[in-house]
Amino acid sequence: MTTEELIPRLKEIIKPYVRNQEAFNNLTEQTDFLNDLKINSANLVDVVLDIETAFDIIIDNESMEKMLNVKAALDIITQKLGEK
Amino acid sequence: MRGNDIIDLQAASRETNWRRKGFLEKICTPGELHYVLEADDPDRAVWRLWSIKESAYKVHVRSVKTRSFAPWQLSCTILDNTKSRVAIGGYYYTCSTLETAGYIYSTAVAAEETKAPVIDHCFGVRGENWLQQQEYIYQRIIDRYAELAGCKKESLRICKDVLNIPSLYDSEDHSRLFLSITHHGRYAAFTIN
Repeated sequence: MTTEELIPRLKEIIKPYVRNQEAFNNLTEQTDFLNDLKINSANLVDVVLDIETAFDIIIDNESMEKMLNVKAALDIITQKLGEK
Repeated sequence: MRGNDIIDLQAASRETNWRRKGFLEKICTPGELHYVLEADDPDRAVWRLWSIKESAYKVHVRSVKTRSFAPWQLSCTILDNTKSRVAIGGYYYTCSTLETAGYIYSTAVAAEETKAPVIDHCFGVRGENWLQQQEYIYQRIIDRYAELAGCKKESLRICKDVLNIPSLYDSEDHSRLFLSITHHGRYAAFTIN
């Protein structure tokens, strides 16, 4: 799956947790989940779990540690899909 | 240096279903999992744990200057009803928690820290959206500090560094104070030292 295909799917997942709508509308790979989108940190756990379900992958602890922005999430999803 | 975290219990129960499959395993050590599952009030236990971990994380980021999302690495030991200790990668933090009917509020300091906070204050938040709420919180911080320190409000500014860590800057004497801010739902708190 390409980045262009992944971004809309990721946006769909994170949408319910976003508090800064403007940053969400202007989302780029550099967008930070906590600092830009103002997702609360407990909901970031939901984002990780939702990604696991949506893509049928397991996000291990080492990967979750990096899960702070869109780019990191895309890299992790691509990597885990590649390992399947 | 201090870190703090407040949890609006009403907002938490609305926003987060911690009982969903896999949730606790992503945030807890085995010992913490036991603490939650054995608690008389598991909801309060989860949010107390989370606020402790978040407050310790905020001080930890200031020490190690790098961010990560690894709640299970912040290993928490509950000492009594208010005190707890968090260990992460050879660093230790001492935490205190205040619980009310509406919120749970924790502050953390490095274990060797002896300096008391200048201000540690919780309050209700106003504003329709996060931007208005943030403006309200920033103004409350500035007003409160100016009153306490006897300085001009106009010379105070809240700045954030590349790690998004805030500080309170006074342009009058170019001093910079450690500041930790937390906001969730109807409540916010800040601590300065």
